[in-house]
Amino acid sequence: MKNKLFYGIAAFGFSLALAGCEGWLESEPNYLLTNEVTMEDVDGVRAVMVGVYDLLQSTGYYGRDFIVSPELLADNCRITDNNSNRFIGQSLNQVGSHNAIWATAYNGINRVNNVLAFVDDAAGGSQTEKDELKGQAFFVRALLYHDLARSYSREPNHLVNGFDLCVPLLLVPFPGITSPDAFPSRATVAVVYEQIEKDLTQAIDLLASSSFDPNYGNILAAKSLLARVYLYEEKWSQAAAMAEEVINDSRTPALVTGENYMTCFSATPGAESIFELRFTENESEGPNSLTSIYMQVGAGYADVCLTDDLMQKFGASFGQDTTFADARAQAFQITSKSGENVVYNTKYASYNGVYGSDNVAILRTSEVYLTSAEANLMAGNTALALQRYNALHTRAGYEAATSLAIEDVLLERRLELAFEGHRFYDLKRKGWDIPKSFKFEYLPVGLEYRDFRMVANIAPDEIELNENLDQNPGY
Amino acid sequence: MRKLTSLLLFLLFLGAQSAMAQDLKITGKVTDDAGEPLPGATVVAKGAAGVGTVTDFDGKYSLTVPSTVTDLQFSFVGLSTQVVAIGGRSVIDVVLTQGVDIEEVVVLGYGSVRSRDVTGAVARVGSEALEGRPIQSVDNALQGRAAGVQVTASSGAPGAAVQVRVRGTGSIFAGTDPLYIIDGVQVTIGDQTQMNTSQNALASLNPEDIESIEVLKDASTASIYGAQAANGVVIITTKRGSSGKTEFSFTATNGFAYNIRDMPILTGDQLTELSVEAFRNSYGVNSPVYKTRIRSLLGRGFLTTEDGSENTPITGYTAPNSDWKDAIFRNGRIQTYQLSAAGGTDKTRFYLSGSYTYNEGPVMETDFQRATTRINLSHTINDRVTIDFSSDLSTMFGNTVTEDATYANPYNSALGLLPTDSIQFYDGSYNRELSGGFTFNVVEVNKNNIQRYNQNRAIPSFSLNVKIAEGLSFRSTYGLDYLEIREDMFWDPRHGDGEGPNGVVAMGNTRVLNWQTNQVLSYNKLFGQKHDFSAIAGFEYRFNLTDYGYASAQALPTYKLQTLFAAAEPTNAYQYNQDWRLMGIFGRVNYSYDGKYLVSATVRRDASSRFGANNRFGVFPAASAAWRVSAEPFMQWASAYLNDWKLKVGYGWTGNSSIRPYRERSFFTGGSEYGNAAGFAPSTLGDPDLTWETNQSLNVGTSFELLTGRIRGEVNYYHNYTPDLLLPRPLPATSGYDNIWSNIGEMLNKGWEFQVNVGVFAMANFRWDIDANFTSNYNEVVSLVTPENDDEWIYMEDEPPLGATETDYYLRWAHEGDPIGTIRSRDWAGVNPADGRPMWYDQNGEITYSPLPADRIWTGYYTDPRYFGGFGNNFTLFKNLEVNVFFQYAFGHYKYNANSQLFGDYTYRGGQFNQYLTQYTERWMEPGDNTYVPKVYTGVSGYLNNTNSVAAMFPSTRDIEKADHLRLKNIMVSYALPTDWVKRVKFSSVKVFAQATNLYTWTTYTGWDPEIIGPDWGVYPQTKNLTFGIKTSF
Repeated sequence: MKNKLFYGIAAFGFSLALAGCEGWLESEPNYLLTNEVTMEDVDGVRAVMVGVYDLLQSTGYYGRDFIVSPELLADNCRITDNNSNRFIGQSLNQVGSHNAIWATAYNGINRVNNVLAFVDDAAGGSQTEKDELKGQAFFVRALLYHDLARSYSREPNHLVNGFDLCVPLLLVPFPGITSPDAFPSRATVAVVYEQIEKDLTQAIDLLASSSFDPNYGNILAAKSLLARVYLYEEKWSQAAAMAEEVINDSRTPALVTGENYMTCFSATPGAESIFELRFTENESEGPNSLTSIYMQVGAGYADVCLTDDLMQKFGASFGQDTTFADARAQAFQITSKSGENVVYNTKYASYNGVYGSDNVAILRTSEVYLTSAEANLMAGNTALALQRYNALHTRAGYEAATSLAIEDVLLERRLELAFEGHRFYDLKRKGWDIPKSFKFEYLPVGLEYRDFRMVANIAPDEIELNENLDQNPGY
Repeated sequence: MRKLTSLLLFLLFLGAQSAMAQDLKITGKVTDDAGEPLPGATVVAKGAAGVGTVTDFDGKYSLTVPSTVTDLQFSFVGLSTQVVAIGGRSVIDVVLTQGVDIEEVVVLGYGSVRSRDVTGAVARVGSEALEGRPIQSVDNALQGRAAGVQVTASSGAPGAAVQVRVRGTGSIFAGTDPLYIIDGVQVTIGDQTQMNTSQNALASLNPEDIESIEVLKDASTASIYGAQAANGVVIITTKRGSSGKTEFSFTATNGFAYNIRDMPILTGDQLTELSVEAFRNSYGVNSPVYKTRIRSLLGRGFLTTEDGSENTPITGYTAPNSDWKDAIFRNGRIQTYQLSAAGGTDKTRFYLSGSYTYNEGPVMETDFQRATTRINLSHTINDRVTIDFSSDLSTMFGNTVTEDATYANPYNSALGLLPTDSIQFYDGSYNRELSGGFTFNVVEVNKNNIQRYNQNRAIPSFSLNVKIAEGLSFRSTYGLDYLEIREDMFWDPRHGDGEGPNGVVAMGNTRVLNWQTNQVLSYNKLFGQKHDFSAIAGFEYRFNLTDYGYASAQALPTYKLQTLFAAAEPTNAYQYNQDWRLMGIFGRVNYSYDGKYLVSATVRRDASSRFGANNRFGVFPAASAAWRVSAEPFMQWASAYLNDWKLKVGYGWTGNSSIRPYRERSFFTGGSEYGNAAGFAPSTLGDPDLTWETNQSLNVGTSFELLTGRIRGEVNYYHNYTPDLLLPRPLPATSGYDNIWSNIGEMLNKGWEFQVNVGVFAMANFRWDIDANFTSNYNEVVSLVTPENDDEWIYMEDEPPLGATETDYYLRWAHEGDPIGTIRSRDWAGVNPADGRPMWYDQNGEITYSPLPADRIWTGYYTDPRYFGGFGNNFTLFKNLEVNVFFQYAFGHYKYNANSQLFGDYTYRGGQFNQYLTQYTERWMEPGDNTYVPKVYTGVSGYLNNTNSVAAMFPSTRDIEKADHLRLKNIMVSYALPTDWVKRVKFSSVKVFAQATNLYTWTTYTGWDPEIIGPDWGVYPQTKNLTFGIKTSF
């Protein structure tokens, strides 16, 4: 009897072995979804689009670096004597220190390409919803490509030695490593700008019937970005027309008054924001935030302060108490750090109350005014240029100007958009040298326009991995 | 009493020979059951290893044994060993017969073989290397004990993880740890915590419960474990009872733990002097900046000048000198108590034990506690059926501090905090206004912050053995390994990291459930006296589920409430789990002819859920053979002193499937967020062809036994080649992905292993045994992503130190043609004797003062030892006093001393961190000084490449140091109280012992300790222990 029982157990054991039991090898994670399942309905596609905005918020991109580096690469900001060793390379225009957004931007482009590839066939959702998602995707793709283009190549009218390669143009989801498209080469500047215009035009069409929400890609954002892109291309009349279209749109936030200037940054959304990345309370970047690098508050780094030159441009008079003539000096924190007198800016001061969670305005009304002023001036329409220029100039507390030179517009742009990530790119697109005169006489004194360091290098690893990529000249 | 007298005499006249014991001469003849004489049979005096002989051609022997010896052991290949009591006889004849063998056996997968019949490479560590040692975990005990097994403590923290590598590092990104099996259960190892920096799941096992540890090193022994065996297999067998009187054993140890060494740093005066010198060098004595500095130092009372103003020369330094090291380090305590009972009846046998360990680390607020119970039962139901049950229940508590590169890390802060800042004020409050770069008062922070874990674990297993027919049996085993870790973290809102968010609390919960069963049929039979045949066939299934939960919140009303419940703002919460399954069938056949020719073949077919549908199944074959040369007639002439000599060779494949699951398909994952909406992000690009790494392993070796076991040894050569490394193949960033996991890359490990045991002296009252091993391992990353490109490299994960850009500090790389862990760094060219500026070589070999990342070179320095091993001396005097001296060593490797970059760079840090003393004593001061410490500077000038200033220090070959070391790992002195005394108090034995661990290390390495794994940055230093104990049996 007993023996039979044991033989039975033995037989059971071996039958398990022989059964093969394919089902015993199935495992499904509870925190991952396969690509197919993710993209099968509109809810999934929308969540991927949410992931794209989340990516734009990274510290390496609009969360901090892409805003701060252009100020340090140019003449607006410098590093304090006592510092945390961040952005030193950018402040000294060292070889290889630039805006390294390549990987983040292409990560975003691949996600956006997924949205565009799958949204039409996704289950559920109305055509309006799908159009809105597509419109946002086209807008963000244009933004990413333009940011890449202005970082990794020269502008169309300002090529140096005829080097006209821009960045690889990828318009479909990653096709797998066996595909030849997995190792793309660089498209020319003209081709990339053409694609950016095309994406924005499609975005404008698709977003026409959606409501205006500055926290997401929207029609005004697409138009404002297109105006900016035309400015980089020096298509003056198209830039002027597009900027005016935005300014005259009733949905566009009006310019705030001088005394309410800070509401552009402190309000949620910012009082002039056309496109703004919103950081909720639980998206604090903490010590890696803009607040931390730009201001002396809490346990922040407080490494980036105004250059003396910029302070003077703001009408600083140095004395017992430094004072500024410009109304926009409301945004300054005058203090000292380890015995050094410094001035910080407070455009990103964690206004929503949680340290390190600053909303980041990427497109705002003032920029569109300045685009209009510059484009109209260059196109010969001085009256309108003066009108748009003076709207900002008088708001800052100055007398209205009666004549206008391009340097005036760029200075106004420098002051108005200071610390917002424009200065270096504005000088670069104009083909101007970068002047730098810092308080230490032995620091290097800026960059000539033709210097190779004006353009970022493609990371050596990337060149290593993709032999079809050409490096920028000089690197 | 006589023995005690002898002992005292011995101690008084140390080294003098005592000849008080009487020796006894015994002769006799050994025959088989047919009455034929047995030449070459071994005769050994039991309990006096090394005293023995072999029979001559007529089966006769003659042996002189000490009077203390009571039994002789007779053995012969293929016959059962017999132990015969001497009982005062001088002639003892013995008949050896076929029968149940009691020879030493080695546990191999799903069975065991006589140790002399092993055809592969197995290392065995017995309980003697574990009992009474102040080791926290069984893997620690392997250090230096077994050839080919390299053990490195990742941290000196109590209960910290240990790295074990069998025959080199076998993989870059898949697992490199061996498979651990405790009483038949494949168990979870390593650090399973989420928030603690070092924990070791295996520390839950009480080392005193262990009977033996076997390490299966080559494919012929390990391939029976198929896809899990590529890094070797460690089989741990716990003690079991035997029938007879119940024996109780009680062990208690108590002792101290010290920091392994002191690191000399600057005093307040020296630091102040350097800072003055730095300002003088940077700005000149007449500059306003310099004068402001002097004025400020005068104001703080750190120095004096001739007239008390900044305008006259300095007359002396009077800075405060806080001893942060003293506040952070302490003398730790070690306590262990263990009670066991072993015994049983003819039918039922048991081993039961309980233990408690408390280990207080030499760094403040770190400790480790463990309590264990074990129940091992065996019951014989009838002559066919037996059942075995083993169960290990344990709980561990650990308090840890951060080992990350953060300001809260006490061992780094201990060096870097400024001596000029006071630690505590007279009212007992702590100084929170620190003026240096380390901004936290780590003494207060670590006192109040909490980082702790509690691991509870059960490892039960049950097995049924049925003898189906003569030689044929069936074993069915069910095992479970369940562990649960609860972690708590608290950052006090009053200071440190907790100050900004106003207090942080976090809780983690990890559960690892691991269930398995195997069904094994085994058969063995001896055909016609000489053909010994055995075989097994089996099936195994393993299911592993790991479940992670975590929640954190911030903003506490007060530091007094430290729970999530009290916090106002939830910050993070997640739960996710990972599972994998493995199924295999396996078989092994052993055949031996007359004990002379041995062959063995195994095969296993495994299927794993971790791999792509296209490549889920794998077959792992192996074969080996051995030839007992000593048993050949032509070796008869040597039989008098060559007892055993065997040659062996084996080749086979083993697999490595230890990668995180879910890499074979493409996935999106949650966790991204925008505008309060949850988003998806691509997480993995999957490769459906993904499969295991295959370790193709060759082993050639020989083992020998000379002079009746006085000299035993083994030499092995191995060649392990993996052609299909699982690597994250880097993708161009334009793909939107970082990498795709693929089977690319090749790796080679080859080397020699030597293991020898020598009984140098084997006299009645003095025995000296040497036990030594040596391994030389050569590792090479043969190829990485693409075979045609010869100069590829890949980052290995390491934590970059404070304030460093990442790529500067990715110091461990896999680079084609170099060993794994090769260091890439800037090439240091010394300090320019003319002006004191630090120099490097640029990529063209020219001197540069501001090296770029592109100037980094493949230094040829690598972090894994080329040679390692250990040797022990065991002295026994009068059988009562035993002295064991054990050394462990590792040579031919380098470590990046990141601490020395940080605390050896005044210029760059500008006095923000305290520095090593050498910064003061060795600094460049005037033209012509030849030194490695540059002229000191301060401020922003440190960053510049300007002829008037000194460039910052960069990670460079200056701080890569030889990590060669020889360590006096353990000295143990034990004394067994004389039996007649002990008997009087009804004990069967009482042994007292004292031991020291890590007592001294010979090394040129200047950091805390050369035994580290990554860069020397923020690692809890190793500890030096001194313990005393008593072991009693009754």
